[in-house]
Amino acid sequence: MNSSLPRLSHTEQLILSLLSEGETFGLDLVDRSDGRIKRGTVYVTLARMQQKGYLASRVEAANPGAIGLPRRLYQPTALGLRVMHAWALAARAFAGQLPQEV
Amino acid sequence: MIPGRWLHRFASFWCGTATREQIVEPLLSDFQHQWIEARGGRVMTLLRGYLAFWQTLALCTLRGGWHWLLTAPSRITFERIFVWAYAVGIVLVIVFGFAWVRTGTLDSTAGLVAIRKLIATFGPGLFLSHYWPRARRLQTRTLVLFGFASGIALGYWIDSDGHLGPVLYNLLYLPLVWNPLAWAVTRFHYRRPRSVK
Repeated sequence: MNSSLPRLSHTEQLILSLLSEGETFGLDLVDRSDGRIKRGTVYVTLARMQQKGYLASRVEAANPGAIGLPRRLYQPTALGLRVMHAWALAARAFAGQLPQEV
Repeated sequence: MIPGRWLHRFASFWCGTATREQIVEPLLSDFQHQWIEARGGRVMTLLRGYLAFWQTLALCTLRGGWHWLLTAPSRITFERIFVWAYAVGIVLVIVFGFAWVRTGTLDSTAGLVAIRKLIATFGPGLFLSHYWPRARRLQTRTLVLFGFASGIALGYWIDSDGHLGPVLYNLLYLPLVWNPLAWAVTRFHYRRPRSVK
């Protein structure tokens, strides 16, 4: 079994952290990120995170009479949350906030 | 009329199913909902939406092209990509060249000379590297070599300032640039035979 920590970019970390507060859509992530997530790249990042297994998505149920395409909603998977917590722990350990085992 | 319908149709033509479903449709649905919910400033909403769409599509095209290049089944495919990129480059130069000439950025004579030089410099070499591996019979190989020599002669005639420039470049770039590049790609990337679906 490969025990190495899966890679997680800053943007992916931010997306997971925003999604851990609840299921939402891409543009909402952009609005809540204070400009750290760009609208031109967020959907590509979300698709990549789904391929990695960090996110799951579903298409919103369309209301009768609704116009336009139905929204796609994203939520983190158990793997995504585990990777995010692992990276948060690693970052804290690196910053010296956790006792180091010798 | 709700915006994004034409973009959706274009994306259906341009992108694969996975890209359309996972990337383009979520973008367009968010764009359409934002447009519906916008009380004022719909023009800015439209501009931002269109910009995001084209940015995302450019990103997807780059990623898709790179992925295709990496998973191309053979060196022939690699060569084909190179030749197509060259052809697209020439078309772009012609299109932008005419635009520059029309706006006065570029003198028309200089623009035409630049296009002819570009064709004379790369054309014969690319022609040879593209058709030589495919030519099996002696007659075909002779024809390819004749085409290459004619291209060089044409380049010599076209470039009135430096006659030898295109000729030398065509003769040098094959051994110095193209063949090492093709060898490196074949050696390091296409080392193992890939299954073609």
